[in-house]
Amino acid sequence: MRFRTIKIVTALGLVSVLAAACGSSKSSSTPTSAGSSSSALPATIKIGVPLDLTGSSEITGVGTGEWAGVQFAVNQINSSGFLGTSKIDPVMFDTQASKTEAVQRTVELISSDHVSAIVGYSLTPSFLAAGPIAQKDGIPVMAVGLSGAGVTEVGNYIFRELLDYTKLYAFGDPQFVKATHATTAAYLYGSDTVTTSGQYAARRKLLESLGVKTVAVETITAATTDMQAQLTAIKDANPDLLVVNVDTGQVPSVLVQLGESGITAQYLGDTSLGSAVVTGNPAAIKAAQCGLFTTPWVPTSTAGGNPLFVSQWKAANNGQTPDFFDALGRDAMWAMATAIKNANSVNPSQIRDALSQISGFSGALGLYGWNNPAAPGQPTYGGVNEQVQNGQDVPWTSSTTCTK
Amino acid sequence: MLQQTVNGIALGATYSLLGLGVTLIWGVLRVLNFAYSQFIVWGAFGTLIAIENHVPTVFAVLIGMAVAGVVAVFVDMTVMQFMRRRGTSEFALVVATIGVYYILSSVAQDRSKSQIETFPIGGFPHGSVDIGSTSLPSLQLLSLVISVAVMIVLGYWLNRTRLGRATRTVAYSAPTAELLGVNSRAIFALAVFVSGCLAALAGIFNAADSSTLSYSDGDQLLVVAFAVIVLGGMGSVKGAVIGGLALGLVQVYTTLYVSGVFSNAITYLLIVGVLIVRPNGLFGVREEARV
Repeated sequence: MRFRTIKIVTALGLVSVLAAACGSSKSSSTPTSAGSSSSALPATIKIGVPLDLTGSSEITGVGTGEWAGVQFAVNQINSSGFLGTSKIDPVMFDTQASKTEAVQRTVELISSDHVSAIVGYSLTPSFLAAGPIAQKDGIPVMAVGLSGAGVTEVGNYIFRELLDYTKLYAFGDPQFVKATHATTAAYLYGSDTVTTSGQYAARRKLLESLGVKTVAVETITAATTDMQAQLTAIKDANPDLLVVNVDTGQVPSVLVQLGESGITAQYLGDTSLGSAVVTGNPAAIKAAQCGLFTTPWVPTSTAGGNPLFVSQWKAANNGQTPDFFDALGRDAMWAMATAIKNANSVNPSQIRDALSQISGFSGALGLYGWNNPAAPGQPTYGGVNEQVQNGQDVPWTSSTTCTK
Repeated sequence: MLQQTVNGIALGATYSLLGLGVTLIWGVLRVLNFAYSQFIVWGAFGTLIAIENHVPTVFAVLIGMAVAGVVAVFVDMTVMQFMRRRGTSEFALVVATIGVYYILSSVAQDRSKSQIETFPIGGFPHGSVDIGSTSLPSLQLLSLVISVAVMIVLGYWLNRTRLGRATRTVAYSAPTAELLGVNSRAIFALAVFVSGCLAALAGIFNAADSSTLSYSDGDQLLVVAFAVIVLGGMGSVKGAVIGGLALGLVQVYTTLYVSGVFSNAITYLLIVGVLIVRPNGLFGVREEARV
């Protein structure tokens, strides 16, 4: 991690000018330049960053990616003078995929470190335990990687960087069903987290409303390593679609064992099909051939500030392409910095108000904001349909063909 | 039903390998070694690094086994032997193995940067083998064959060879074995080395099955290993194999007929039931006949 940081800092000399432009945003409120004579910002602005870097191995790839993205953004913000002479000081805690740890660290961030805001949380269950504390104490939160529902419902200080996945499915799944003429579906999901079980429930309800009959439902937990029993049951049900919602770290296992199972159903996955744990695993990505998914972000997107982000990331990381979680971490921290700049204050309620007014934010996930009054706290970007073909994610339309 | 039975046996084969290593170390040292979880991981990482350095897969597996075996012996010759010489209680030894677990886990975690690593499976068997109306993944078939082979070799070694008899003597009483001219320290080291090798083998098969490897992969497998030897009978080689297969079958049937959600709960409830009827497990042996 330190080595990566050094490389990032080194590359910043080349990209600092671009960085300022990358994080720019339009807002319905007139931003005041921080660091100018009228700036009310302190020299150091503490931002809490609780993320899951360790704990269950099934999610650690998520948290470390988000943390890399957050660090990348902080380095850009501080070196580019985006907040004038003020610097962001990220107070990082590894919440170890533990609800207890998330609660304790959130209390510590607010009570001991006196952070002005929080940019963090990798898992919905951890957030749902800790988020109400931040809400109660009036600390604005930009939740980084939560894909479950019920996040912004915690209160008006809560914002989310990642769209509720059920909204992505509502966008992509009807198109997939129509294109594949599917009439039956089997489901495989992680039953031990509210995130994946909630996604399963929402997706099944959606597909059944489209006339797709459920023929098998199988579950795994984070401790499951062998899925042959579940896959055999699914194979026996002979579905048209296999809908999978499991923790990102378990997706390679599912794919590899699916490849051995002889199941021919069309695979409907989630954003993990585009994550580094899958794309970087030759056996998994081969087994994912023709798999369909909807994602808010792909590296090749030309929306918003993504081309600039990808080029800057590659410059700072030996040509390595960023993954989804890097992008999320980057945009979450930039959004918070933008709100602080627009508020020209570290007063939590003013930051909260500024966050809710952001529009035209030029981020890695496109040109978007958090100013939709119908969905307070939620980002306004949409989804992109993708398909895995020959080891790569390619844009999918109803006329796209794929051979297994 | 037949296919699911085959799935259960295949799953149980890996469980048996896990149980064999733990039952050997228990039989000789009478310690439940929590560091065994990390022997599983370190062995798999040894194989991963060897494969990444273009070592042929078969030799990479042997290297992984050797790595885990050497780490296990190192832990035994430093921490465990030191504590045994000072007459430390069994409970303190168990706590010490937990400490060793955390040290080894931290090193593996640092090495992998907490990431899930890709475990290359190009050199492992892939595809399925059709057996009548059922099919079995080739990797799991290999795991089953190796598990049975290890059981036969271990059984022969312990019962038919001079070294094996010496091992059983040490398992019965190290001081008595010393009086008979047996080098108990060497026997301890040998048993620990073989146990580490078996841990690695199970870890390698587990990693190959998912094409991934993480520093925490051994944690859940350790629980399975303990369950296997409790069910089969602590210290029994045959019990470890049968216990592993039984555990695999019960888990698969539970997933099939009840729910995957309750798979572990029902499995361990059944183990409790078996222990109520047979407190020493299915093939529990008397103290004087351990290993």
